[in-house]
Amino acid sequence: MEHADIYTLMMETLDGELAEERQAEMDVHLQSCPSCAQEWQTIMAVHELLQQAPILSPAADFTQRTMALLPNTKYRMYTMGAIYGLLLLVGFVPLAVVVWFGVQFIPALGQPVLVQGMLQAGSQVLSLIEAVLGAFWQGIGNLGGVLGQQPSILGWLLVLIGIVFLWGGVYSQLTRQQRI
Amino acid sequence: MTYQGFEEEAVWLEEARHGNKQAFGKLIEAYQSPVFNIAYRMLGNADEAEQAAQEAFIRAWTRLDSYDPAFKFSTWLLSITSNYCIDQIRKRRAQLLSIDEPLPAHPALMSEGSAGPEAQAVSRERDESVQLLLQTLPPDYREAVILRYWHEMSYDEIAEVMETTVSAIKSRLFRARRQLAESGIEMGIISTPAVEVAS
Repeated sequence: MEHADIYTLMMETLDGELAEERQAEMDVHLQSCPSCAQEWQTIMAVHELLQQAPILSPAADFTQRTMALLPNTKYRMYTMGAIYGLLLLVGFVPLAVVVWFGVQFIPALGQPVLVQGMLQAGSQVLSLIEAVLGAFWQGIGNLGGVLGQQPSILGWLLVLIGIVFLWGGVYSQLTRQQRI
Repeated sequence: MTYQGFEEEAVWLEEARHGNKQAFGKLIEAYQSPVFNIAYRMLGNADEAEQAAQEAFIRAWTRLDSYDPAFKFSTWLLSITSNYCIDQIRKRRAQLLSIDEPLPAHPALMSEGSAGPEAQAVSRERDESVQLLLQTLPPDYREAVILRYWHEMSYDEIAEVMETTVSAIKSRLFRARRQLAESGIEMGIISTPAVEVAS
């Protein structure tokens, strides 16, 4: 029997996973091989030393002290909500104030023709957005057609996606310790 | 942990997810020893271990939403703890205590109430030897040994905590034990055995 096989049996013995028939095989080898027998006794000494070391506990008031350090998640949630709300207001309030002042102090801005013009401009902007989105959607449809005619493009796209995932995996392994 | 224990834990977890600190306090109470122990065995210092244990619980609290109940809470928590400890070891590597210097013993070992002074001294000496030996291992080997010996985890569970394969764990434990044996002999913690061979 090779020494490497015996090491495997030693480890299985220590972890309580060695079958009885293999135990006998190991014993026979250890009786005839001084270097393996020595290795086994040394490893057993370490094993016993580790087994005797107790599980330790922190000081008695550990729970109370740790609880005092826990951030208040509900408070944090409400605070973040309030901050986002304020940011939203900060964006809208000046706009509303400017419009209000404009209508109050520049009579021309209150003219129905001007209001109608502004509404028309708004509607044109919406039409423009609709046209852009429509073109984008049509482009996706055309891409489907092109892929149907040129399957190699699809192949290259899949390779590209594969590379991205591969690097994602590598990056995730490299930063494993920071993730948790 | 008993079935009732698991049910209780599930209730505490659910309440903790809704921001109930008292419920999370029950989880701290239940897991403070395993979390502190892994930190102490990894870092080899009681003060740092306590800070690491607190940090692990704080991280668990703020990231409870990302905990997947399909896995054991203890596995997730110990994974957070050991990853944090490995980060700490890497950060302080340059300032790591020399293995020749005695490490401060854990207070629990200084005051084993029922044991007499001699037994306490033996226990303290043994634990210091264990800590010295553990410090000779690379952090990932150390982690595998700690999870195996003090937390009695199976290969599968260790692999889950360390986010690796069972065969990698077997290999780490094998190498770690051999390295510990070699270091033990070099440091005089373990005596070289005299072997008689059957002729």
